[in-house]
Amino acid sequence: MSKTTIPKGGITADAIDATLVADDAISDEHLDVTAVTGQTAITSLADTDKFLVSDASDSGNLKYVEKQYLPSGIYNLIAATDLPSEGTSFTMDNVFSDTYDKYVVFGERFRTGTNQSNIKVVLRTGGSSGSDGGNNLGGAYQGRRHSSNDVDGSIANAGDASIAPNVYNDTEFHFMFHVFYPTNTGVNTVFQGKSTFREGSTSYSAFVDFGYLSISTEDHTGFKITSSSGNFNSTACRLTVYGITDGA
Amino acid sequence: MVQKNIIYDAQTGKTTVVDYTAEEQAAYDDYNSTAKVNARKLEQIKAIRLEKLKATDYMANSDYTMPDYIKTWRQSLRDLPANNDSSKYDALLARTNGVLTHSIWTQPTE
Repeated sequence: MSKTTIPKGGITADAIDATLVADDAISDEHLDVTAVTGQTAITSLADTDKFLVSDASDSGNLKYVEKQYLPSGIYNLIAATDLPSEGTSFTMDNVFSDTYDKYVVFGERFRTGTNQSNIKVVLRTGGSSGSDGGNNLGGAYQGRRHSSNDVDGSIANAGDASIAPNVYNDTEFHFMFHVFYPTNTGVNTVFQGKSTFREGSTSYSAFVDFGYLSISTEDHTGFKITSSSGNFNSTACRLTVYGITDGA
Repeated sequence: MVQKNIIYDAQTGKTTVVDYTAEEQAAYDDYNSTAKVNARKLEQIKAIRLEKLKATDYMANSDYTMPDYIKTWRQSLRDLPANNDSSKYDALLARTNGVLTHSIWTQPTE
């Protein structure tokens, strides 16, 4: 016989099972906050891990979406490393692949031990067994230094390209550049960016914008940063490379 | 001293240190040869000299009488390369807090 009135305490613990709860009866006000916080935490996500969603295109019905379908950020970290010891060149191989068309490179806290060093970029080919690209870079840099003086230069059919043309010693400087289509042999690789540094001949600050194009069909898989005079100091130099997606 | 290339492989996460190739080392040594370093220093000296000369060019206008002490100073600026061999370049380019310290760069007032 069914009952229509149940006194408080009339139902024992766990006496109500799923067959006795009406469909759609458990609303938000009946959920305890520990419904989320009481679960076991995980610290990494697999592509098929699931998130509960209210489907706006289907009357707010509850559904799930897997991690692999969530929009990702635009910047996808490929590599980040500090210079482990002093060196005249700092090379990153195997950072460019067919996964991305566009990349951004950050160079942080670079510092040379010798004044008036010309900091250059060399594109690399060959992946893990990397080697320098050919003499097919062309382009220019242009900037200003105190007081109101132009800083400029250009190259054609060169193997390396200046990104900070005359750097003062023992003073940290930074740079960034984008790389377009490095591994697509049907499209010329381009890199362009900006650096700001203490200028070697005046000891005042300067910046340059730069842009270079490789007139080749090379498959560029990495790059090298070189110092024309003196080593890069090892205490802080850091290179970070991101692949860029269009975003969701 | 042989220069070093620090190579990081993003796929393996390993870093290797390799000596410059003979060709790379030759290019490095050439750029840092005494002759080329001195040539770059002389280029800077000439660039600074040009700035100083430009700053007093207006005194050469027909409506201005250039004082003799400026004429003398401008001539000594023009004679800088001839009167200073490479052993003097560092002194000519010396700066303190970005300011050139050699007296030749100071425009005389009389």
